[in-house]
Amino acid sequence: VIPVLLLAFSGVGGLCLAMARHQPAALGRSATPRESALLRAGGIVGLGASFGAAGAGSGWDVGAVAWCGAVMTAALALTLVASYRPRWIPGLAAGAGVAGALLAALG
Amino acid sequence: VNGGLRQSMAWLHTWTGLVFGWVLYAMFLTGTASYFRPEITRWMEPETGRPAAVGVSAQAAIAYLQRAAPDARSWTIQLPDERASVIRVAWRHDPKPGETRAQRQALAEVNRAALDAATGAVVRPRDTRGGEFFYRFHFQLHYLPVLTGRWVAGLAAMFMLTAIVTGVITHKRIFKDLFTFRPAKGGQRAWLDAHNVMGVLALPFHLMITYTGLVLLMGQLMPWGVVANYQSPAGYFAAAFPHAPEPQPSGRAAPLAPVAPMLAEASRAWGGGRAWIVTVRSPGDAAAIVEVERRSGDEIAYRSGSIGFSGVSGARIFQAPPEGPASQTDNVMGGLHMARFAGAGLRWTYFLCGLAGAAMTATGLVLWTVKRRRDLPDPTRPHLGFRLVERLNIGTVAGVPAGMAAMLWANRLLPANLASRAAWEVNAMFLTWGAAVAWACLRPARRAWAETLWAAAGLVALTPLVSALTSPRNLARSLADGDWAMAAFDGTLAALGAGLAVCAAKASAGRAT
Repeated sequence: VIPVLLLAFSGVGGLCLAMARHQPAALGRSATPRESALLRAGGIVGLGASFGAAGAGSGWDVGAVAWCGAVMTAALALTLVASYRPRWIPGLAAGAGVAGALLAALG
Repeated sequence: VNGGLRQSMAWLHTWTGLVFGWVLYAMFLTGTASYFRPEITRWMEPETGRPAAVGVSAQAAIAYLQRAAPDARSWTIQLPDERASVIRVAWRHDPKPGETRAQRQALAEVNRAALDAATGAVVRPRDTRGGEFFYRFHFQLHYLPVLTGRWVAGLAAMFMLTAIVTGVITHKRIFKDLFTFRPAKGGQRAWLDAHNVMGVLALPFHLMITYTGLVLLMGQLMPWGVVANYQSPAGYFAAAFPHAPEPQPSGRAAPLAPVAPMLAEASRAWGGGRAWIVTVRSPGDAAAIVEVERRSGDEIAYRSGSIGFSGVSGARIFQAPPEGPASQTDNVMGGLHMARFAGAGLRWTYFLCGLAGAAMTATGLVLWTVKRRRDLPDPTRPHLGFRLVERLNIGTVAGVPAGMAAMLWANRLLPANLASRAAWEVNAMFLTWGAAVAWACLRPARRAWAETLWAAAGLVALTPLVSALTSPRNLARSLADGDWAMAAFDGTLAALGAGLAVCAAKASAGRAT
């Protein structure tokens, strides 16, 4: 469950950073369209990796449910960070992505 | 989407949300707690131990029943899993002539016992409904006839479904506002952000839980399919949920065959699935039948079928046929709702999503007053409808968690020999909820928010302390025993109490409504 949650957090983090509304607070500037597209792609990769980790870990039926739960939980957690500590989003999302990928690869 | 449609949807959203909002909030909180039903039961029965390797077999439970109720019509044995610490056994006799339904129900309360799963010793927990109460309340309420309560809960769920769909249509910037919560802006903006975040980010959960909740009540809410196709409800139940046949007692005594081989055979037939409920009908008779039900939660579907054996020869005589597609869909939907299949991690995400649902309902109720306060002709003297909503909001948003905690306090503080003790635990919840509403009516609104929220925070956060002072359940012992579920129970109450305290502090600072 932990790697699924971490990868989901990195995924929603990427999607959030790709949104023009959140960039000034989170990145300190607006991203170029190219950067935004990359962040969005990174977010989708994170969500996809999370789905893969969930399916591989708990089977594809329970895994699909677990993935939905993880994405919702991660999105709520991300919103809290975005509201109170937006500058932490890039670091937390990247860290969660690396840690989640490592844990998924090891576990 | 044109303005006219959006406006009518906004109207529908506002009023469907309001009418059942308070009931829905209570249903969300108690339903969310029900994800930890076995843990709440275990906490409320401090006389019971902690889950251990099951050292006692079903055979030992049968030996107990042979001593306690040798001439019963049927025995039921509920085997524990890793979340329970007792085997629950119950027995039933043939109804005596002239016996009323109430008398039979009273007998069912007496004709049961709990055996420690590790040692087999009889344990006598205090008289409590445990986690079962929150579970029952969240779909059939309380103080009402069961069917009436289910109608109200079902109607509330239909209004919820309407509120969800209309809410999505009404929301102007559902994707643009994703992850946006601006508490610093204060007032209506902040409340609307909070409502949107809780509603939109957990939307898949809200839709799933509301829809599948309605599916679980479907037989009552939409009975026409059954009425049109079956002579009686019993005929439908027999066809939809097949069970081993009811034996005709022969009158000849015969010893019961060992059950362990039956459980092993059932488990093999289920591809390693676990036995859960073992029912012995006509025990001691040559016609005895043993039916083994599979553990609910082995699969996403919650009804997992049963296998029947001859109680004398041990031969398999019945296996539930595979379900049809419609039945299986219904079964998986019910399973998704109850999440019995979920491991610890997934169960926590269900719990968090459920809390988000309660928060969405609460913020929606508060928004109703926040939006209207500006438009009042005289904000110091609001009209009756506004005052009613405002007071019910305060008394319910703070009163339900306070009441749930009060029930846990009552579980520890009521004397063990009090008559109807279990019922008084439940009464404590509603007395507290009612007291919160009454308090809200007597005090200025802003102060009432702060005071009731502080009271709720105190009741919730101090529950572990009350337990430590009055029972063997305390954090130090849970940690020392490695009883992580009970340690987490204390930690969760402390965290929820802290959350309520943050709300109370904000209300004290004058930010609420």
